[in-house]
Amino acid sequence: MRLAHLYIISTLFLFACSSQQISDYKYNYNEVESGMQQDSSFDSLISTYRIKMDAMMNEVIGSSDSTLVKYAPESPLGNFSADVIYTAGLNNASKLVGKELTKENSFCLLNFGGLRAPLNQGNITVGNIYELMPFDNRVVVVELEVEQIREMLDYLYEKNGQPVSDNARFVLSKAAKKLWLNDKPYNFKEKLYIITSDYLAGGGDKMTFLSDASNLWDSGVLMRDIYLEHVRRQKTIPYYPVQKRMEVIK
Amino acid sequence: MKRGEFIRLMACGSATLLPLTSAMSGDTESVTILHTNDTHSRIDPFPAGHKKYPDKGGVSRRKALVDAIRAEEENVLLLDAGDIFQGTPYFNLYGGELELKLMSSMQYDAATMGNHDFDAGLEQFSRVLPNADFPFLCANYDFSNTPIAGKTKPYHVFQKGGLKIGVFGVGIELNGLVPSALYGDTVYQNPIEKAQYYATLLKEDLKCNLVICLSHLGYFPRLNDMCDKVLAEQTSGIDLIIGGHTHTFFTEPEMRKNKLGKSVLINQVGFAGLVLGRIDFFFDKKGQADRWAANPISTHYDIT
Repeated sequence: MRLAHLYIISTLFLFACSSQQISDYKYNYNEVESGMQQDSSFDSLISTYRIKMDAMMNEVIGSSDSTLVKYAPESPLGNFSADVIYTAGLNNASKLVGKELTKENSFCLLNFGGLRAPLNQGNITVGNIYELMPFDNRVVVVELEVEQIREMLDYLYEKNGQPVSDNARFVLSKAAKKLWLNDKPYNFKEKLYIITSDYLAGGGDKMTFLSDASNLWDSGVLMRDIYLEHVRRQKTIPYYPVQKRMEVIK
Repeated sequence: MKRGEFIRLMACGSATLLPLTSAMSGDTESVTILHTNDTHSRIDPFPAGHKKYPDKGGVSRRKALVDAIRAEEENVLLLDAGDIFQGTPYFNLYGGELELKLMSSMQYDAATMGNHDFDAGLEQFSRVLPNADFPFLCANYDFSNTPIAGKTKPYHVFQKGGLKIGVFGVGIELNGLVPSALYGDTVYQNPIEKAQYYATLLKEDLKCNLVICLSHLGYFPRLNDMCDKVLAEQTSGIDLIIGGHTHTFFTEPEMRKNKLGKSVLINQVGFAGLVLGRIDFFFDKKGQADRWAANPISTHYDIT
């Protein structure tokens, strides 16, 4: 009897509860801010990892005169990144490709999505460079045919620009898409050599004009290592003004 | 026995004697959904000198906040919508081990995989996965021919008090977003089709009171036209989409209508653990769906 009663209750209970439907909701936006209570039990767990990491990451390797940030179609951070990669790439690419790469037949193309943090004014640490470039991407050279260059111009117009090195100048409108390299208008006859990352060369950020190309040379050098070496050598990073490398007229 | 359980038993018990009073206050229940997305290895707070987020975020604070809410609420689910990895050197050096340990310690109940959770490759993901005491829910990636075959599941049903909460996860197309060497033989499947399949399973067959989709598709489309708005409008059975990927800070959830005209909420809390989202759902037997639907918050967050 008692069991039967319990059975009835629990059946009703299950039925009742499974039939419950949403009647209302309430939202809270909890910002995680300074001055909030902290859980100290996490500190010991994190510190075993942090000590080794800090030793490596907190090393100051140079400084920046200003804060470099990114925005489309052209930005100080994009210009810095593309110039550093282009300079290093151009120095080594001719040997890699087996053909002389110049400022008239090559340039560097990166993507805004790949620049993961601004470069703040003041000291630059190893950790800051890891935050700018956390990915293990390598520098590669891609050979583009004229058709792929046209696709690239369409892509850059649609995408509202991407970071490029200082020898390139794009003026992109719906009607006309123009490119100058080292102040010379591109003639749409010659092949061009794009210094970029293996990620983009593989079609990342939908750069299919790069993944469609038939010739690619992989330097094996990490982009992050190039930034680190550049800052160590230069010591001071100047401001990289926007200088009409990329004009998109919509 | 916790207080809520006692009250519920009392309510159910009294229902046998007084069936007409079943809608009395005692038999309503609630569940508190806490959520993060795109935490991106942000374990320590941002530095004090950071331009945008000085000394904000940090897992020690998040842990304290979660614990304080758990102390007040009986039914809590803590969920993450992906991109746990990548963004600080903790990930470069330790491959995701610490992130998962800390999430386990905060008692996360489930997470889905974002594109950056592939960044160390699936071999490495498989190596650090034992540090996660919670399931990774991936309904539209077929990992059969990868190192994490059998190590994720499409959905999980949580019993919280008298409530059944079904949670599943959908991920973004990897081609063009993640180097193919990293995702290997992962097969991306249509997230709308998979979402519909699991939402129906959870709502209709398994009778869940609440169905949550952890989505890393993004609030607005980036590389293709798949996004949370489309997911919300082209499916049925989902009550809440916890989004990620686009790092969108919603100040409050957005309500949309699903393909059957029923309400579905979308929410996303930016990135880096700067915000802990909290949505409390209240339930009753009458299912005052009209009241739930009459909370129309439609903010239409701008594309940034």
